[in-house]
Amino acid sequence: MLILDEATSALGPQRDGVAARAFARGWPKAGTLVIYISHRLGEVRQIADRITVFRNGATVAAYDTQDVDDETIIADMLGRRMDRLYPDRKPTATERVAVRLRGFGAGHRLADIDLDLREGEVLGVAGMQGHGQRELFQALFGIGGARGTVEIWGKAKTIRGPRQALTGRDGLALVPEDRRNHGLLLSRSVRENLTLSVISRFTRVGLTDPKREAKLVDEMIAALKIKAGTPEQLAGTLSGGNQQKVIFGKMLLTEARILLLYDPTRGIDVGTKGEIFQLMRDLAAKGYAILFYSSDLAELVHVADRVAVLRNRRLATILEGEDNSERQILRAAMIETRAA
Amino acid sequence: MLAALLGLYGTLREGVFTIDELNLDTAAAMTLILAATGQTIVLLRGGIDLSIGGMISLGTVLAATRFGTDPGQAVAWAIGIVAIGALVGALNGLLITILRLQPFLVTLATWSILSGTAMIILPTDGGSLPAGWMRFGFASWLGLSSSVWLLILLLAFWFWFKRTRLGISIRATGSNERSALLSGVSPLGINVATYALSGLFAALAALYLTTQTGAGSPTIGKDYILPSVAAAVIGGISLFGGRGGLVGTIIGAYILTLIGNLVFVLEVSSYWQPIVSGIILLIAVLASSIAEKSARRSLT
Repeated sequence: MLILDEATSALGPQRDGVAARAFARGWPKAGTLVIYISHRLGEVRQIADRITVFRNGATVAAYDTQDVDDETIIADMLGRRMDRLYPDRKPTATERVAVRLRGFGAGHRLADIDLDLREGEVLGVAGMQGHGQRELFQALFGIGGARGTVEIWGKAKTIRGPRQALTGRDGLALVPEDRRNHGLLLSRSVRENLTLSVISRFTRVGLTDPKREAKLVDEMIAALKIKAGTPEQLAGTLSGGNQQKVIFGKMLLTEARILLLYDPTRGIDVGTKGEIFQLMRDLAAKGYAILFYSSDLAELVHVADRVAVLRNRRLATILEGEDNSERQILRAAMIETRAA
Repeated sequence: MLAALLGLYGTLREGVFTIDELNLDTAAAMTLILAATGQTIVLLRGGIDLSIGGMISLGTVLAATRFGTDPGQAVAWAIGIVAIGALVGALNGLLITILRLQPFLVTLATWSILSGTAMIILPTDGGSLPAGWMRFGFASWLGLSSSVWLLILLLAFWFWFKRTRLGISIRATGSNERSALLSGVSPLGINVATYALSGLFAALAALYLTTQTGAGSPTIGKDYILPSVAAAVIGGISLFGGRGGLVGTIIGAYILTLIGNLVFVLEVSSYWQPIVSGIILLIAVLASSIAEKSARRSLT
């Protein structure tokens, strides 16, 4: 008997289907009982004979694979019919440029990036793993040094570290890749996590004011519908989706209007994913500028206004409108294209 | 555990549960409590500070050789010693952050340098302190000795400090350095402040010690290095950072001090003191490890 629990979750989009191919080639050998746990519906569909859906620790449905469609399974996972995973995408970008990069680079992993991120825009970033997207986000947040020029809201700015990046109305906030180890203090409370970046907002003469802090925390928990028993619950005991909401809340408590979201929906439940996409579009409509990397291409296609594709540490192309499709993104990310 | 020890002590001797006894025990424990306060802050950050041993020695010899008889001079030097403590600590923090060195090794080196400096200033125990300085220990107000008031002051400091931006940031950095950095906590600022505070408390411990002994000693500091860590760990502070508080450390320091009293009352060889201390430390470490594991298990 073989149990595979999210065995492919760390692989990028280019490895979609790797499990299905392995099974097609007759691995594991005939007669093995396989329990395949995955949040990738397509994968489950290709591999499994029967599908069982769990929600909140209980079986809610079981089907033979050929008898059920994706919509039904998603509805079972959510406990309700979900109209759509992706929200409406009304273009809200203005002419105002929030981040202008010229000749931007970092180390050996990123070079010659010319990119404009506009107010009210969700700009997707795509690329095969290791083609520079991680370095782009880190360098913008002041980690690891950067080359080239950065203009934030029209003014040249050198970002020397996260503390400086987060400060002020011209700040940038990051949702890091590794939620548990880089985004949160798992052993501290939801409250402490939410307010760690904004302690000065409720500090008077050197002393924090618990009432003002509680007000900020309660408002954010309500606004993002964070499911925590109390604000004192330890962040590490929340579900993945709620942990990610805490990170979003922490970011939104800062004055930063430029958000760097690095794979913000990785490994979280479908319901919370939908909420996060809606939140991203709402924030864009409010004038936030959002840079959004995802390892799931469908998310980029459905949520981002434009998608910048990185290949071989450089900007390969920017896709929008009809061209913003999984097929075009993969093409640009993998195949050498000639300038038109 | 403190209650058990107190109970045992109380049955063996008259007058344990009196204010006099509180005054006496607090005076006996106060040097360790002050040293362990600094150590507690460093441990919460996830570091360790061995250099407090050297700083305590240096503080006592400077006090014993420089105070003279003029009160003004003595006060100026006392302030100077505290400043030296903070500066040396800040230097520890700078070295650890900028050169990315292990706190254990950096503070081992500064301990050695400070001890040597103390030896040069005063090669053997001795020197003298102004009579007025040594009266500090006998001062009292409302029946409580100056040491007990100092303890109350220290607790007030702690309840203020842990709610300041610095206090929260130190604990956050100790819980998860990377997350704290990405949340805008400056690692350099935190390390400098953490070790500066530790050095400052070591200097205060040295000054307090001279009010009790009336002399300087270039070697006495080493007797406080490991007990300061032990007091913190017995008090429930995690060596991995982020967990625990000063109240626990103070209880830990009292426990270690009471063991000394008990050994004396029981009239057994004084060598039993480190043995019993060690056993109690082991029990504390075991309890802390169990607590750590169950805490980790609850984090999904």
